[in-house]
Amino acid sequence: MNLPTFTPNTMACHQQHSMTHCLIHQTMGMLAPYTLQRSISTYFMQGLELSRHKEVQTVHTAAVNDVDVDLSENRYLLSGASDGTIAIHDLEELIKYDHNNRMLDTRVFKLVHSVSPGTTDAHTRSVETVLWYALDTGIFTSSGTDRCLKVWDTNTLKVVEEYSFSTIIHSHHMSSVSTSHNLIAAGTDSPFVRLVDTRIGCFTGILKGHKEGGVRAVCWSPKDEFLLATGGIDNFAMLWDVRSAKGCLKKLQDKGKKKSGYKRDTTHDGSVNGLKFTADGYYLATIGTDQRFFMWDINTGKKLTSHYPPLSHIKKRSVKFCLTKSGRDNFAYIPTGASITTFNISSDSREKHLYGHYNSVNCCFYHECGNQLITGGNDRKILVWTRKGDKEYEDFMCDRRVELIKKNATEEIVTMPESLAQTLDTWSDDEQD
Amino acid sequence: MDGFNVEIESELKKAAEKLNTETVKQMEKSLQELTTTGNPTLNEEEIKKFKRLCRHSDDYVRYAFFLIMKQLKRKHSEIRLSTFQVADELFNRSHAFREMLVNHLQHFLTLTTETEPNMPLPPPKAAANKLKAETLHAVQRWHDKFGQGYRKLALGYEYLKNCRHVDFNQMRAQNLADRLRIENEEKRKQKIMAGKLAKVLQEIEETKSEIENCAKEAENCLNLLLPSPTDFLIDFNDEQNDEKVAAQQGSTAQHREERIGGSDVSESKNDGGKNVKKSFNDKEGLNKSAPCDSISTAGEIQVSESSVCEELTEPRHVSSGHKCLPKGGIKNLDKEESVSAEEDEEDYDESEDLYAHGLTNHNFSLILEVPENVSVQETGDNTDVICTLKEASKLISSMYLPKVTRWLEILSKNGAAQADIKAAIEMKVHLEAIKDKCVELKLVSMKKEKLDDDDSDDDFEEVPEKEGYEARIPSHLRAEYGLSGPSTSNQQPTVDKNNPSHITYANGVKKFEKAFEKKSTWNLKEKIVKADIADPTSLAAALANVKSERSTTSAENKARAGGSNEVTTKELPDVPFVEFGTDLAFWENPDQMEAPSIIKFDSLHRFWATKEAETEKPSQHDLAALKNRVFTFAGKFEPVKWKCRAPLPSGKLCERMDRVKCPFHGKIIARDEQGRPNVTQIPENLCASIDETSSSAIKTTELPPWKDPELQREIEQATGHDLGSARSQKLLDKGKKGKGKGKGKKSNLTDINTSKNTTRKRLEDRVFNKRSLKRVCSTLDNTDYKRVRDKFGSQFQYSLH
Repeated sequence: MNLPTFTPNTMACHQQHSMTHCLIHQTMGMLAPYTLQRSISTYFMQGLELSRHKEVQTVHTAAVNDVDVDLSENRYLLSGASDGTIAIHDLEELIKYDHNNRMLDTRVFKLVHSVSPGTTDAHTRSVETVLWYALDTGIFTSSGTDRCLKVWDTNTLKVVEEYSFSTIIHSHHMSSVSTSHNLIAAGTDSPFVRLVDTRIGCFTGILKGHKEGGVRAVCWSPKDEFLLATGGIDNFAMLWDVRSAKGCLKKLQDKGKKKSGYKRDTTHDGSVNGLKFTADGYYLATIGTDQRFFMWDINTGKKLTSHYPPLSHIKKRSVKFCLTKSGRDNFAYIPTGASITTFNISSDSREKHLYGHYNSVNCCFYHECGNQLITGGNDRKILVWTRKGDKEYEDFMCDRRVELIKKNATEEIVTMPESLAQTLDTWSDDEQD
Repeated sequence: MDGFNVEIESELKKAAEKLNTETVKQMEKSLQELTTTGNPTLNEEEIKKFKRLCRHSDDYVRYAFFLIMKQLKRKHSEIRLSTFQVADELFNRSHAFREMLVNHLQHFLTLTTETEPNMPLPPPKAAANKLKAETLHAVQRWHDKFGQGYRKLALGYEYLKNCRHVDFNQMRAQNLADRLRIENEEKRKQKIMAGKLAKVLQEIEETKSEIENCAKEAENCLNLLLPSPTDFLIDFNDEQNDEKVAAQQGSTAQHREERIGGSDVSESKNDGGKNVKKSFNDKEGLNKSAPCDSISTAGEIQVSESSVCEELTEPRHVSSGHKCLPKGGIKNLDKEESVSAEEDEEDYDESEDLYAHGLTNHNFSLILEVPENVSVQETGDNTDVICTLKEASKLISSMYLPKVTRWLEILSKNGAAQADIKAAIEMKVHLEAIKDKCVELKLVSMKKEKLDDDDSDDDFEEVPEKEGYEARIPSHLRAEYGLSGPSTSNQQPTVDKNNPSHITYANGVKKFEKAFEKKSTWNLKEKIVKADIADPTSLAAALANVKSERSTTSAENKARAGGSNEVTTKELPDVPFVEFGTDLAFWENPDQMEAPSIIKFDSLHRFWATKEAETEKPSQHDLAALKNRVFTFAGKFEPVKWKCRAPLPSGKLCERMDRVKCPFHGKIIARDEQGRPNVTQIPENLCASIDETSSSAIKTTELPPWKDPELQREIEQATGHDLGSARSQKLLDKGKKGKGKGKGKKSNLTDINTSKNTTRKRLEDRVFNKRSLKRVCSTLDNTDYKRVRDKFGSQFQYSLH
C-alpha cells in the first residue's frame, strides 16, 4: 500500500466530523463501516494535485493513449502508446530514491515489462485501447489503429490471439462481471459493433443498430453481464442485450432541440465518444462532441436532470475518461485538452481543472486502492495525481527527518529541503527600493 | 483554451472585487505601460513599481498573473515579449506566481513559444523569434532553479525536450561550449605562460653564473678603485685620537661624521688640511694627493661651516692598489706616489702640527666640502681595472640589466614561484647598485687628462713647431689674431707656470685646487680659460675667437640700430609720391583754406558784360572737393586663363572664358578632362552651397510651392479644373501627422498593420479582388463559351447536353 500514513487529526472528515469522532461512532456501531471508508475515499478524490513523490518510470516515446489497472489485484498498470508500445508497471513495487534531485522520497513505479514497437507481436500502429482481463492478470487485450485486436499472455508477453478487423478499432471492452461468456465488444469505424468470443476465437456476433459512421465507445455493464452500451458517430448511445442480435435494447434519447438539428432525440448533439457505467451499473455516463456530459438512467433510459459542467476539447476520438467507484460522492475525471476536468457526479458542483499534462491528455484512470489518478497524455508521460500532491506526506516526512536528525546527530543545523526552499518567495532583492 | 479564457475573465472579475480597486487599477496601468513600450528590455522603475504593487499579497500576485495572461493574448509579439519579461521577473520572486504559472505553463508556452502549430506567434517576426528563444532560455533557467519544487515545471521542461524537441542541451551546450572555449583559451595561455616561464628560468639558470661573474668582476673592480671603508682595518683608537686632534685644530669647524666612515674623516681632514689653499702660494704646492681613503668617505662626510671664508674643494684621488691597506700602507703608497718634495709634508700628518695641516693659526677657519661625486682618473696603473670595469658596467647596463628586467616582467606576469622572483629582484637590485656606482664614479678618461697635462708630463714628446705658430703674441698683434683680453693672455702662462696645481703628477693622482676665486668646483671651462689662449691651436683660443667675433657682430647690430632713421635710397620707391596740392599747401593750418570764388556770368555775350560780376560764396561742398585727392586705381589686368569646360551636349567642353561664373554652367570649378567636376577639389564653401541647394531641393520636393493646396484650391475655384488640391492637402497632412505621431506616440511598438503594406499584399489586393475575379471569370467563361459554340454549335447532338 502506498497510502501515506497520516496523523488522524490532520485529516478532516467530509462531514465536518473529525476522524476520531467518526471512528468512535463506528466502533459504537452508530456509523456503518463502509460509510467511513467511503468518506475517506471521497476525501482523497478531492483536491487532486500532481504528486510530488510518485512517478511512473518513463518508457513511452509516444503519446500514451490508454491506461488500465487490473481489477483482480489493483496492482499492475497497463498502458498503450501511439507508437505501439505496451508497458506494464507495478504500482506496488517501487524504485525508491532517497534523493532524487534532492527531492524527498521519490517513488517511481517500476516498469515490469514492455512491448516495444517493431517486435513481431507488437502493434504496428497506435494502440488505442488496452484492457486487463477482469479476473486474471494473465491476460490482457489491446487494439489499435492497425485494425488488430490482440489477446496477450502477460507472463510471456506473447500474442495468443489476434483478430483482424476491416477498419481501425476505436475501442473495445470486456465484461468485468461475466461468468457465462467471454465476449469482447469492439467499436470500429464501421457502424456495426463486433463481438469477439475469445473462447471460440472468432467473431460471434454483429450488433447492427448504429446508422452510419463508426462506433467510438463500447462499455459493458458492471452489473448485468449481457448489457452492452455503445456510442456512435450517429449521435446515439445504445444499450444492447448481446443475447439478442435483432436490435438494440434501447436508444438513449434526449428530448430537446438540437443545434445541428437534422435529427431530434439523439443522445448527444454530436457523436458519442465516451461511455462509462457507474460502479453500481444503474447509470451510464456519456460524453459527446457537443462538449457535454450526461448521465442516463439505465432502467428508464432517461437523462438525469442534474446539470453537469460543460466540457471542452472533446475531439473526434474515443474519450477514455473514468468515474470513481468507492466514494460516498463519486467524481468524473475527463481529459479535456491539456487539462483534466473533474467534478462531482453525485451532486452539482463546480468543475475543477487539473493542469499537468502538456499538449493533450488522452486517458484517465482512477486507481481506487492507491487513491490516485493515473493519466496519460500526448506528452508521453503517465502522471500520478494524489490529494494535494502528497503535501501532507511530505510535511510528515520532513518532520520525521528533522526528528531523525535531532535524534542522531549532535548538530542542530537542519537544512531545508531544496524543494521546499524553492517554493519560498524571494522578493528580497526589491528591499532596497 | 476557451475554458481558460473564460477562467481568466472570471478570475479577473473576482479578483477585482476582492482586492483594492485603486491598487488593481494601478497594476493594470503599470502593466500596460510596461508592455506597450516596445522596448526589448523593461523599464526598471516601472517594473519595480509593478513588483511593489504585487508584493502586497498573494492575491495581488494571482491577479497579476491573470493580467499577464490576458496581456499575453494580445496579438503583438513585442507586447508579448515585454509581458513575458514581466512574468519572468515575478516568477523569480513569488511562489504564488510560480504556482499559477506552472499550472498554466502549457497555455503560457503556447502563447510564447508556439508549441501548438495552429497558434503561431503574431508579428513582428523579429520580436517573435526573440520571445521564443528567451522563453525557452527562461524555462531552462526556471527548471534549473525551481525544477524540484514544482513538479509541473519539470514536466513541462521534459515535454519541451522530448515532445517539442527543444534542444535544451544545445542551449546549455552553447553555454558549455563557451565555457569550454574559455577554459581552453585559459589552458592555452597557461601553457604558453608555463613555456615562457620555463624558458626564462632556464635562461636564468644559464646566464646567472655569467651575470654573477660579471657583477663580481665589476664589484671587485669597484672595490679596487674605491675600497670601501670597511675594507680598511684601521685601528680605531688611533683614528679617534686623530679625530680629537682634528676637532681641536679646527675649533670653529664643525665636523659631522656619519657611520663608521667617521674613522676616515679625520684622515681626510688631515689631508684636507694639507690641501687647504691659503694665501700663501707656496703652500699650494703642498697639496699633495689625498689618500684614497678619503675618497671612500664620499657622501659620508659633510663638513659644513656657516662662516665661510674660504671654500675648498678637496679633490678625490684614487689610485688602485689601495684596497685593504692599513694606514701604514697608505702612507707607503703615498710616499710612493708622491713625486715632488712636498712629500715631506706628509710626515707632518702624524706630528699633528697645526702648520702641517696648513693652518697658520687657530682663528683660521676652514671648510671642507666633499663633493658627492667621485671621479676616478684613469692612470696607467688602473687602466686595466677601469677597462674591465667599463666593460663590465657596459655589459651590465646594456645587456644584463634589461635582460633581468625582462625576466622579472615575465616572471611576475606568468606567476612564477616567489623564490624565483625574489632571486631575480635581488639580481636586479644588485646589478642596479653596481651600475649606479659606476655612474657615480665618474670614470675620467685618461686621454683628456693627457691633453691637459701635456706640458707638465715628464715624457712628453717634442713636437715640431707648427708653421706660423707663435707661442707668444705681442699685445699689439692680439686683435689681429682675434684674441681679446690682452692682460689675461699675458698673465696666464705665467700663472700656469707658477701654479703647481696645474701640474699633474706622473702617478696619475690628480689634484684640483681652487684659487681665490670663489668657485667651489672645478670645471672644464675654467680650465680652458686658464689654458693658453695665446696658442691659436688651443681650444681656449678658438673659444676666445668665437667670443670676440660674436661681440663684434653684436656691436655691428647696435650700430645698425642706431642709424636706422637714415633713409637710404633703396627704400625710396616704397614711399608714395604725392603731387603738391591745396591740402599740402595748407597742411599746417587747414582752417585757412579757402575755396576759390566763382564768378558767374549771366550773359553769355562775347563782348558785353555786366560791370560787376557776382561772386558766389564757395560752399562747404566745394571746400571738401578741394581737399579731396583723386587717385586712379586701375589695378592690373589679368587675362582669364581658364575656360568653363563644362561638358556640352555635343560632347565638347564649354569654351567660354569667364572669370568667375559661366552664364550657362554656373560657377567655374575645377574639372577633369571629361569635364566632370573634381569633387575633391571643390572648396568647402562651394560644397556647402551645393548641399544647401540640394537640401532645399529635397524640401521642396516634399511639397513644391506650386502644389500648395491653398493656391491650388484658389485656382480651382477660379478655373473649375481639378488640380488635385485635395491630394496635396492629404500629403501635407500625412507629413504633419507622421511628425506629430512620432512626438506624441508613447510606445514605439512596431505597427503590425503597416508592415502589411508589402508588394505582395498590394498585388493580392488587386488580383484577388472580388470584382476583378468576377470580371476575369466572366471573360474566361465567355471565351470558353465562344470556343465551344464555334466548335460544336452546329452539331446537333452536343446542343442537347
